[in-house]
Amino acid sequence: MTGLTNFRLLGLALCLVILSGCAVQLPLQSGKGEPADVRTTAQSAPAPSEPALCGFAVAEPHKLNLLERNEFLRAVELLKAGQAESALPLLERLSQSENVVTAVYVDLAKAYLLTEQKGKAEEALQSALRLIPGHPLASQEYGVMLRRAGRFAEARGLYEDTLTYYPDYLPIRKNLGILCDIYLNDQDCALEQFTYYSQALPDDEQVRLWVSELQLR
Amino acid sequence: MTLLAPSSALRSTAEYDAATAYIQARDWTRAAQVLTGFRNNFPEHELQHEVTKKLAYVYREGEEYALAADEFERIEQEADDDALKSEALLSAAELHQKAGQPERALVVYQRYIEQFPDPLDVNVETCQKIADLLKEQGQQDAYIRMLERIVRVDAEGDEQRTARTIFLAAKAGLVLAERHYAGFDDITLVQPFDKSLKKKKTMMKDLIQEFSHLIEYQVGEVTAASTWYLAEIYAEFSRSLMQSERPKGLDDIELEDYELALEENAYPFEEKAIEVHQSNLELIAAGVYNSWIDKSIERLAQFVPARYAKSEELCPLVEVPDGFAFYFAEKPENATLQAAEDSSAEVEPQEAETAVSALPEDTQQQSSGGSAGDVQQGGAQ
Repeated sequence: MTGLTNFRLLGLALCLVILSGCAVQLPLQSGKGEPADVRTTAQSAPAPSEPALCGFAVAEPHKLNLLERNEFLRAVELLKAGQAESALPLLERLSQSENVVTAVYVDLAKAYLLTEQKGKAEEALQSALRLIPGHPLASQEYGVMLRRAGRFAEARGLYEDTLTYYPDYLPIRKNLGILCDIYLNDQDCALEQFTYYSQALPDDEQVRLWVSELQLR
Repeated sequence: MTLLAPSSALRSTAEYDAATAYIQARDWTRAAQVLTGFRNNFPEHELQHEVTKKLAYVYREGEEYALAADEFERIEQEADDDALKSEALLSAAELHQKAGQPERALVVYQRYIEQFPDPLDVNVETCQKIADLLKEQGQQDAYIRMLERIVRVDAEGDEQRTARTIFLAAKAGLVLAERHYAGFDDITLVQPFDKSLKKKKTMMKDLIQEFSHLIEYQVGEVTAASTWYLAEIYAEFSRSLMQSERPKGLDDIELEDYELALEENAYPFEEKAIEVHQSNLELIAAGVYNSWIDKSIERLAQFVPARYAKSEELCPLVEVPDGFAFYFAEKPENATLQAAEDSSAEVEPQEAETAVSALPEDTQQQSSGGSAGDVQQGGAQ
């Protein structure tokens, strides 16, 4: 419970820092249902020389015990070493634990994809999203997987759902923009996503160029 | 105990019945022994044809695929009925393949396609099996001839054509067209320019005709592939023009004029290439998406990077199981701008500093540790 409390604090802290106006809506995900809707209106601004932080935190509803944690870390090391086959049994065992966390499912999906088991990867990602609806990383992995499979409408729905929970998760903004632009030929959608991204990260020249190109098209 | 003479009618019936009993008991070894005994002991018996059928079945069930294949070939030889003959031939060929005897499978499949032009779909399917085997065995010329046959047989099939025969013919046609395309890149434009240009243009025209014809099959994968090749034909022609051998003896100004003229001639072909690759993306709306469309996107990313060179952000490996945070630093000038735009946001910068200082110490460290767009894993201990 302490971990969860800390994470709530982190989320709240980020929300407070963000008050300058970056986030439209800042959810503090408890992982046990709907994210807390912490709507912010700009009430304070940072000092001109200090960058403000925008973002959010997602807490897990459970916590792995020490043994499970070590097993998870071992699986991560195996995945980093390119040994997905060896990581799989560890992650599969952890996925059966009552303490299972989304990290297990996301990495399990990665291991399945690396061993060309797309069906099982999809199941793992769906489990992650059942545990924490709209989980940004699970959605990111799943969205790209759906796009690669040509399931564009599903990918779009997934991204849009995720953004209702985490509007500031910029990788999903970018991925949705690309999906709309290249695969769905929906320029309005693409422009909206890239503009949001570009306003959040104005130093990203590439996305700024994409916005300009879309405006000129 | 009564001993029966080997040739007695009673014994033949008993042996046949015994074989049937072994088959019912799924004792394939004993069944095969009894049936081969029957075959040798009663060669003129009226049940010999039935014995062959039973042996074929017994061997197949007992996973004696080579022996089963021989029996099916024997059924084909013994049968008068065309349906039985054709079925036996196909079974024999498949069993030869299962037994690791591709050469014998090829012979039997060949016999089938010669003897049974109808039904068309089975004939074309069998031609495809032959083509696959020939390809596996590296018999390139025979493989190509078989693909040509698939295209021809399907084209002549009229009302017997099915979605499957059209699909196989389209795929075969694509392989044949790809072979022709392979030589296109090799034609370089050298002096005398007229001669090599004529050769390249003639080939270009033929290839455009061939790939355009493939689109008429209306098979999604083949249409996407053909479109990709059509675009690449234009791109290659443009590239060839730009890389062509320059005439000798030009001074600097003449050479510059020549380069400009080349560019002017090459540019429309590149434009055409882009246009055709873009048309491949339109197939997505029709529900077609495959590696050829991805390849068109890759090429478009090279031609028009500002529009098409867009890579998704991939999910990182999650290394910490405790939670996840995402944050990015907002540019101060951006923050100021937004605050100024919002009339309700007119506050003193110090207030934000106060908020930061009010954070728990561990959170402050985490928040200040990353750069823009950082994914922070963990935190809850």
